[in-house]
Amino acid sequence: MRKKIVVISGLIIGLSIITFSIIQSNSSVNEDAVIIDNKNLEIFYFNNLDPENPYNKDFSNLSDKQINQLKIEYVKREVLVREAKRLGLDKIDSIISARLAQLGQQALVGEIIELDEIEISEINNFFEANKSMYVEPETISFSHIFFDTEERAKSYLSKINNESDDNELKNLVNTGGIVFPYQKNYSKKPYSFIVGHFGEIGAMNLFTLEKNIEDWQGPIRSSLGFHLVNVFNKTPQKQMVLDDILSEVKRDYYDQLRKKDTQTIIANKILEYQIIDNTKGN
Amino acid sequence: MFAKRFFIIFLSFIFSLNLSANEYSPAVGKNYPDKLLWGDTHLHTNESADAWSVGNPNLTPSDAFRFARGEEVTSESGVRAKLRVPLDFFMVSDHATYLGVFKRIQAGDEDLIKRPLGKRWRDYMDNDDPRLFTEFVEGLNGNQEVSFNKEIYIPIWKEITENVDRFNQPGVFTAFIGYEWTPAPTGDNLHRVVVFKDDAKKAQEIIPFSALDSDKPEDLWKFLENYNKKTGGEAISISHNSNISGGRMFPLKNSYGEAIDRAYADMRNRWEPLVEATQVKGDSETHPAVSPDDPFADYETWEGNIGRNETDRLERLSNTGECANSENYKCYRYKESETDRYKGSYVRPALRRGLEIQKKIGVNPFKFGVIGSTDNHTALAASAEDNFFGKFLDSEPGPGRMNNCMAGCDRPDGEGQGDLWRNWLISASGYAAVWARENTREEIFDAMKRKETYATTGPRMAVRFFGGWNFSKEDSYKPNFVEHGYTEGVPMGSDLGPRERGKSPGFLVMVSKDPNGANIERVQIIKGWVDSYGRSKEKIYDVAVSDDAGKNTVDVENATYSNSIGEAYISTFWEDPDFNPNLSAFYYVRVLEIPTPRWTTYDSAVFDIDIPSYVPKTHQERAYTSSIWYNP
Repeated sequence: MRKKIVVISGLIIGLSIITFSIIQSNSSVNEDAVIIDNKNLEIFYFNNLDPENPYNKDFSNLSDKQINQLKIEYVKREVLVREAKRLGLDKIDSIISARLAQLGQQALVGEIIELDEIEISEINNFFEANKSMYVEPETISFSHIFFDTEERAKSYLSKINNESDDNELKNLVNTGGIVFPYQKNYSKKPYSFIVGHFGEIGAMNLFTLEKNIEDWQGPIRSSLGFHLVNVFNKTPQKQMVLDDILSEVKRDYYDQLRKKDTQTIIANKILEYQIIDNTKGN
Repeated sequence: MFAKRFFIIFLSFIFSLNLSANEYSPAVGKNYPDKLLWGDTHLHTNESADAWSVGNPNLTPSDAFRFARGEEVTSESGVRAKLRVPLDFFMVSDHATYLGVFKRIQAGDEDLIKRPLGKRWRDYMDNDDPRLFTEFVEGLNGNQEVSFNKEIYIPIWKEITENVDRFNQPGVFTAFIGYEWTPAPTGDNLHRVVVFKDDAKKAQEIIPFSALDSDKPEDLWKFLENYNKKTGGEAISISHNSNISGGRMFPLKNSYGEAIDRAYADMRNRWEPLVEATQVKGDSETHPAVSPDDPFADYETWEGNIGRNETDRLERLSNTGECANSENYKCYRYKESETDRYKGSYVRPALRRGLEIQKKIGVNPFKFGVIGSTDNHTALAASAEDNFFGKFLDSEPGPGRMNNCMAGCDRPDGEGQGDLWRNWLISASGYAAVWARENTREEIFDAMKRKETYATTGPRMAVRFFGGWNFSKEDSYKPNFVEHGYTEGVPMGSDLGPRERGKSPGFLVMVSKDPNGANIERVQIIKGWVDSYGRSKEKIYDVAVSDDAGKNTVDVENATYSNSIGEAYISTFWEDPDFNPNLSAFYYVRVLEIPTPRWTTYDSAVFDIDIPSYVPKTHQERAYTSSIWYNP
């Protein structure tokens, strides 16, 4: 009974506050007024469903009692939010500011140029200005034999380089060392690929070797063990030709335009603001 | 007499011809997979409705492919990102539900905005109305009232698939066409990614099958079958996050409540050969509740289901000590009455359940292989602990990410879901490893179908696993280990051949560390079998353990570790000492690295922040291979 009285009293007080507020708003609306309309009340409702007790998902089916309760909660939230803002608390919360910045960007950035509208001359200019982005990296082609110790690798090196019989040499290459988890032969592989199989130290050591078809070299160290290496070929870094990669360059140019457009819009918006720098000595 | 002599001479001649042919061309008979390829088949970009609305409106599938192949990309939060080592293959798997729709409505797509739903969503966007996300979730739950006519997806799918083809470079970098089918009835995750073997032209003959079409996996498999019949093309599904499926991923009954039968098993095996065993939303290998004798079972464990609704299924283990904080999710477990859900939620109990069902109906419905992938929604397939770009924008690198909520705190709520987990729980995991002949769509897809794959939680350790009846200890040292493995046995993902009388199965295992990562602490073979009463069991065997196993070199304050312990390379042989030829069994390899810092520990050092006491400081990253099965 006592609980019922408390609940009813609470409702009466809440409704009185809202009624008072509405009367106030009708007489003279000041800029701090909390205005309740169906739209913001509905959004507030969906934002604040009780996860443990989602009573009624459809806003239009809420009873008058539920609507009134919602109004009380809405007013309470609005007042607290405004107080927090008045105290500047929104400016010290990184999550709020990051989310707002993101929303701001989405709102500001509209449509940009269509991919089909891009002229070939623009792509040409972009390619010329960014040639360094379009290079084929240096590569290496080699076979290797893998060992668990440096000593075993060294003793095998003299054996393999002193063997004059072709068949025996082939046999030494095929049966030497222990099994390497990746490949025995590598053809035209760039540094970034080799790092994945030999580790940073292995890739570095491999790329310092010179082409030498006649002799096996090493041992060189990788992060997995030691290797004797026969380097068949090395190709230097090579500039790519626009015709071969036209669609890729076009897409890159488009992406750059998109990013630039975004930056320009944001930069222009910044110009509309007065920026006061109160930092000292920077 | 003459005829007999002639026949013997003729046979000898033929035999000698064969010998000389083999000697002349050593490549003959060596058509086995010798390339270990690394990839991620599960990543989201701004074409996914949730990624777009939870903070990734800019990074596209193209950005994702560039990042995967090793280029530098700037993340949504403005941080420059690059992989240490590029991936070999990659697939963007944006959600089929509202595929590309949010992005296009925001960009002003007239065809979409003129439709009632498009107009409503544009209004939501303009007003920052949270119902946008709520209605996306309703779409995932199959609410037809929030759906478009399927024709709207034709130009979107065309654009997406043609872009994938642009990145596909046979022999260098494989770009797969794919998407995600994303139903979550009552918050239970039934998600699958769909991988196409084919190019854009063929893939465009269908429109992606989404949760709005059906929330039943059987219907997805039927769709894949029809695609195959209609086009001659091929696609498979790969399930993920069984760990938060509420026990529904590996069920005892089909979607209609009927006991699983041969037709279900055959269909599932044909169209869903793989399971994603580890990813950003936790690890699905096993759970302490179903593997109580496994000291390494509790790894990146998540409790409950994906929606975090149905909370009445769970109980809090304690309210004191570290469990005083309700955000320590490790303090929750399924209630006693709900523990069967674990069996349908994890890979190892599912492999066991598969054997149990096989004993009843003659077919194993859960005869799958495993891979890992990321499921990141940032367009960045980054899964290294010290190079981790999180699940959503809210978990991209930054001092606050650990305490943010996944998909944002104070989430709009339409289904009683509320906030998802705090981000400290997410895992910097995982990748897919595939043994293939070449780096092409066809070869990798075929390797997936034959389950010659394994999962890692991020590190790229190489693992070979062969089973047979005639292997010996000496074979593990041989330079022709791999050739021997294929010619005398079978690789991961296969069935052991017919048993030779009186023999037990033997296994060759070779493991090498991630060339850019930590050493290996131990290699285990995990066996599951079903007894004569139809009850399944499991046992873990350490088949190679480093001398200093159990030591930990991690300096938590500075987030460093040392490879002064553990092994860089292990090659070994193991024979099952408990083999019973009358009982079906499976065997798979689990590799454990030495302890290394978890991503949260790296964050603590980089951003100089404290982390909650209940967040693990170190962990042991791992690999799980696909199984080898034995059937009497």
